Amino acid sequence: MLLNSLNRMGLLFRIEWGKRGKVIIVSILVYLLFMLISVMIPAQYLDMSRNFFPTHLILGLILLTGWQMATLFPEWNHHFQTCQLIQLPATPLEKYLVRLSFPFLVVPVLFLGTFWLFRPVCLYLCMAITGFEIYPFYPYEIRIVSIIIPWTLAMILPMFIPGSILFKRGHLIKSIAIYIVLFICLATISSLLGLPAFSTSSYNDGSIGAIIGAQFESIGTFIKAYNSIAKPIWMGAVLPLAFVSGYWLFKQQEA
Amino acid sequence: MIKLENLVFRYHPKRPLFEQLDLNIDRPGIVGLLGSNGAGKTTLLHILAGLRFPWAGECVVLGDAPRKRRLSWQQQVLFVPETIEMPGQTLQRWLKELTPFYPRFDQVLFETILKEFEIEVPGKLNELSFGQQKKVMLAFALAAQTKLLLLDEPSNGLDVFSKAQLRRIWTRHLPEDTLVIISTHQVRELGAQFDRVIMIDQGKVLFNQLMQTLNGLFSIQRSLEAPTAEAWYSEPVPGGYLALYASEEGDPETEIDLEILMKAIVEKPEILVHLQKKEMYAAQ
Repeated sequence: MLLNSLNRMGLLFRIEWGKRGKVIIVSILVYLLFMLISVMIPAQYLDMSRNFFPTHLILGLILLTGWQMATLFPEWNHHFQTCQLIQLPATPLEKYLVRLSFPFLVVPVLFLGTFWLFRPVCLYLCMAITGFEIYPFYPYEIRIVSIIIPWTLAMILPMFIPGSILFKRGHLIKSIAIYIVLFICLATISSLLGLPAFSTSSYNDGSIGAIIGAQFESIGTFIKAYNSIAKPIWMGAVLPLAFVSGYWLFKQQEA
Repeated sequence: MIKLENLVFRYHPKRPLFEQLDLNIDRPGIVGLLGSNGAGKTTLLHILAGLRFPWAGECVVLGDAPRKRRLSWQQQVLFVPETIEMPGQTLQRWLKELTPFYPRFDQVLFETILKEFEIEVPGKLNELSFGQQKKVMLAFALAAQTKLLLLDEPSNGLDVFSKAQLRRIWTRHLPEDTLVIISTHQVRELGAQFDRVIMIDQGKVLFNQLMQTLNGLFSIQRSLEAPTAEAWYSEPVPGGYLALYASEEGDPETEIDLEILMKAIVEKPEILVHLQKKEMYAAQ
């Protein structure tokens, strides 16, 4: 039974890779090319920040995984493809897991792999141009790759699963809009009630920009204030809820 | 094979499409699903394929509820929509990806059907014309040898010769244990293939009859002069009139023209009463 299921998931993966593979590889290469071009500018002034590569690492991952998440179910825009996907003889869980493997596994692994291979090329080119010294291996990169990136992906991406299944067009934008509205509402309510989530410590002018800025600052204050309970709630309730509700929505999807 | 009881389906809470729909099909064969635009033919096919969920009522297809979309059930059911959008892949690659999911798929049969359709696919599937894409999809559907095949307007987009090919192909290659439900407006072209006809209108099944029964109940006569008052329905055609009559005992059986019957039912709904009476009589 399990072997059959794994076999079917392999077949589904092959279909999916056939549709997405080229786009993923080209987009990774384009991003790395962008990194190569952008590395030359600071390198010429011998002014390359030690955060340069980690920033590219995180930005690239967010862009590429976000793209995959935004196009998690492009079939919903085409009747024929929707019918094909729904009636393909495989269980909904197999189809769902294979789809999720792209933003959560395939793209991060491929991007990290090519990034690690490509970085020495970038550094070599910089050195050739300006005599720039190669930075030593950053010890904190291990922390970034092993903790911060998986943590960030696990915290942010699952929120968009239900949205990417539910909305037929522009679902990522709608999902983002919903979360921003929810966040601003919560922050505003908490400020009205005088809860510690709201902080205007760096904003004293009362302009719209300051008010919005304060809303964004409030999430940091909230996490600091409730760190001990925020993580268990997020990991124990919100994440499973995102995965399960996404699965339920996918299972209930009609043509 | 298919049992619908008190089926309710709505696109909008206040606008029901099906209210208390009952339908029973208990043997394989080719079934024609007829009805005017908006009658719910495609929706009914979607419900039978598990692509849409009924709001209430019982829906059992091949012994299971379609909305559960069980794996073993999905291997036995295939729905072919009216509009086909083939992927940008070669035929070989498309088959390699899809066929492992259909355990009864017959590669030789697929190639035979393509040959009969006179189709060659040298490049990518999406480079084919709409009619050619449809033929490839129909060939796949027939070669998959599922127990239930649901075809939405299969002859749309096919030229006259291809329609004749299609009729020949499913007469030759359709497995005996397969139930095919065809939703179509082109009843004149496909009507002769049907073993059973179901007509739906305003969310109800108007009739669900074997073609053989319909052929025995009605006769179509062509005449030069206007038909008598006994005719249920008539219409002028080049060179005279075409009229629908109720068959009397001893009349020779004629092949019913489903288009005339549909028009007749719209004009004179009492034909349905005649049908129901005969049905009750036959049941007794």
